[in-house]
Amino acid sequence: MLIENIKEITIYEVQTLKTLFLDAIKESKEIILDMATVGKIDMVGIQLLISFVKTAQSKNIQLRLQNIPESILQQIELSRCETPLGLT
Amino acid sequence: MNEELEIFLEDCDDQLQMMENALVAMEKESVTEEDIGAIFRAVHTIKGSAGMFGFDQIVAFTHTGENLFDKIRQGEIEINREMVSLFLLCKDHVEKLIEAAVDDEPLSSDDKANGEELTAALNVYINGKSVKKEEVVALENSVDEAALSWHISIRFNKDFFTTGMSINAIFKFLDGMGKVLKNLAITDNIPLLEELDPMLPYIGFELLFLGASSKEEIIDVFEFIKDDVDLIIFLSDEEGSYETLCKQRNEERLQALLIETEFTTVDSFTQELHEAETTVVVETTQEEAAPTIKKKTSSSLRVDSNKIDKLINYMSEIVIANSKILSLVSSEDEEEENSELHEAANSMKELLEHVRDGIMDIRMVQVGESFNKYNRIVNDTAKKIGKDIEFVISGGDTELDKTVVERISDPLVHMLRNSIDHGIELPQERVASGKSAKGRVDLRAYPDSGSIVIEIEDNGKGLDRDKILEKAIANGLVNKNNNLSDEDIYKLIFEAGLSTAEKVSDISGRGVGMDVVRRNIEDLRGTIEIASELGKGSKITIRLPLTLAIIDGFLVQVGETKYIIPLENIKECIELTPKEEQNMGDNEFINLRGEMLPLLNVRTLLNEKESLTKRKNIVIVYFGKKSVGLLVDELLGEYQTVIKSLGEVFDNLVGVSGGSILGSGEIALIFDIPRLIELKSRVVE
Amino acid sequence: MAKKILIVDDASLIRNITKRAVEEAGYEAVLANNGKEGLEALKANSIDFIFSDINMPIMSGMEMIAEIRKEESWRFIPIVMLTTETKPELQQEAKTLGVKAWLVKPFNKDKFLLVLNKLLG
Repeated sequence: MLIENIKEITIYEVQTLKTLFLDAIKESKEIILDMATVGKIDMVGIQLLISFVKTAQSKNIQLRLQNIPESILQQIELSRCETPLGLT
Repeated sequence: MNEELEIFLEDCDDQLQMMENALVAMEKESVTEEDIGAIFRAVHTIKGSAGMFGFDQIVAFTHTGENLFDKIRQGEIEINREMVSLFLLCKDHVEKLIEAAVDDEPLSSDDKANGEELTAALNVYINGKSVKKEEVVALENSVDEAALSWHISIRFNKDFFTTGMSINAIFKFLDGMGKVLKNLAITDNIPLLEELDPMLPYIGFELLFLGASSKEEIIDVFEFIKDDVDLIIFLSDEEGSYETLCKQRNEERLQALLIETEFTTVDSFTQELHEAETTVVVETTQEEAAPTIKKKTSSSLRVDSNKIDKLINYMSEIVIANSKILSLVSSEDEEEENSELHEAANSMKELLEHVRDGIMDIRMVQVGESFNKYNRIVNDTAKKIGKDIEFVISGGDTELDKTVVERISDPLVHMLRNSIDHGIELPQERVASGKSAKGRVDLRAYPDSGSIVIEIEDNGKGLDRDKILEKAIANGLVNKNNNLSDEDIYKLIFEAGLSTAEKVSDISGRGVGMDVVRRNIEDLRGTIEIASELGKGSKITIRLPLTLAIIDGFLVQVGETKYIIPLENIKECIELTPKEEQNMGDNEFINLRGEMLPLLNVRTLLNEKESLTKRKNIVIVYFGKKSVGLLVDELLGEYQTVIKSLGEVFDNLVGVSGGSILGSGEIALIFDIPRLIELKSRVVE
Repeated sequence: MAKKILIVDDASLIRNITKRAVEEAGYEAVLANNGKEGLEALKANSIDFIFSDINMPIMSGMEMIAEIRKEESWRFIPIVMLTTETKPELQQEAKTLGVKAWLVKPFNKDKFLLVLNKLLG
């Protein structure tokens, strides 16, 4: 399953995204989160992504984050969350 | 000249012109509120702008002018013709000051003297006497030479995300101040999606920071988010520090993670914890073998406070149910002796009390940790206004309910600031009056007969009884012909709108505060007293209940509702005979042994229905020195109960502070006696 | 994309100098004269951060913040008060509206820059 066209992963969107991610986990064993369109991320969003990654691992679901824009990657790296997100 | 200064000049010109127009208008015609407002604003703006450029002389001068206009604006001082002329002169002086500041040239000695004269003249109006010109204390910039290696451990309180503040900004800032050598995101506490409340911060960070900064300077970086972060900062080479950190954080894998990421080594932990560490390692690598290894139990356990509150609720219901059993047992007793049942019920009661006390005890925390935070506030405040103060904390191991500790913090800070700002004199003043240059402020806590006492004592100048009285009379708080005791007069400082500070400073504000402090303490069902001796110092004594959750009360019935009156507020109960009721008529007073006592009819106040019982009772309650009779229907007896918040719906219910659920499942409302008394005395006056 | 910072103050000098500090720190400044203009600016721009005075004609800072907190898409914009007011009641009121920081005027540009860095990195 491919999740795409997400504009921002921020405090304003996390509730909606959580539902979206939960649905994805119920439906599919292989999920790709395409982040090419993501323009904004904050700590709330990063925390949600970490939870998403953890949940996928615990259920043996393959989850890949792809096309992460440079600016978003910078935000993630600033808070050293690349490892918990499995990006290293 | 740079562009910013040009804007400054232009802006000041505008403001000064506006001021002049208003002043000239005042000279010719009548004074309008608008004009006064305009002048205040102009002076205020110039002060603010000058401050941005660090033009301290302008700030100091305009501050005095602003003060006077503030008083005029508030109606405390009436403006007259001489004041208007004085202000025109001041306006000219400000122009000179601005000119000198912008040209970066010193003021001529003539102008300087002129400025001092004007300030003195302004002060005459402000205080009725002259005061030495204010000294501007420069901010010190202490720089520690050697770079230190600090460990910064960050966790967030539950509201952190909703503040919109960014932790990345802090990381960046630290990296500018020194170097962030390591940064480890602690993500173990982030739950799986199903369990995740995305708005709650589960994440945490462990940082190793290298910089020539003091601990205070690091804490200062968190200035704007300090209420929402939980910080532990220590020098990374301090012995045993990592062990303490792991204990305090009490997170399962933290120690292993810190070792794994080379923040510290296994050796830095003592044998005891070392064992625990190995357990963790073994557990993660060989799950089968884990159970055979003896686990170390930690000395403390972190429990969600909601769980304890739930226990307290159940506990209260058990106590209530048990009191019902007890009354059943004793009523049966009258007919036939059943000592075994009686005995069993009584020992049950005792055991339950132990359990209840034990549960309440869990909520107790030592005040020390919270008190230590004030060290910095005291130091900063003292430094800012050029005072030298020794701050002594004692009784840090005194225990108090967690909620009380949290809610007492703001009032304490306010009172400490007051002591430093208004209590302790400047070093030179102290020496002049034969005291040591260094002032002393004591913060003490100790238990005393079932409550906790917190004292703030300073050896400063003490309260000026006459000045307070004068001010209180001027503000209409008390009558001219009163015979108040000294103690009563000191208490007036807790009334709204009474500030005796001669000089308003940015430390402790403009006459608001102490009344709020009193309100806060009373909300905690506490009391506040003040003792003072002119020239020697003041002592504020706060008495707080050990816990917020339980109250000894007296149950009464009014109409269809049961109410609880806190026992500590009850003086006596009397019956209202029909005869007296007739005598009373519509008067809201009763004659109690020759004294007129104001009477509050609870039924009419809270719109209760007329009751069927003929007998009426009066419960005489008091708070401080005031007494009021509460007219109720039936007296149901003493009752120990657990307070429950009623939620927002009941927020505007007058004189009720909370509720409680009775054994029968009925809800009883708890009276807020101080507020009821306040209400009644306001009506009477 | 540079972060957009809204500055609401009725004193032109404060507006201009904070604007300069904001731009010097590499952000974009949006200026407003009072609370009402502040709300309009919020509608017209995607604002990341707000600095606001309290005492202003037409609409005060407090009134503006109350409005901001009602609007779903503005709820979490951080707000710092820029004011001479130090009344605890006001601070308490602001706190309940989620205002975290309180910057008491007068202050100088260096102090303001420092604050900006602490808040925005």
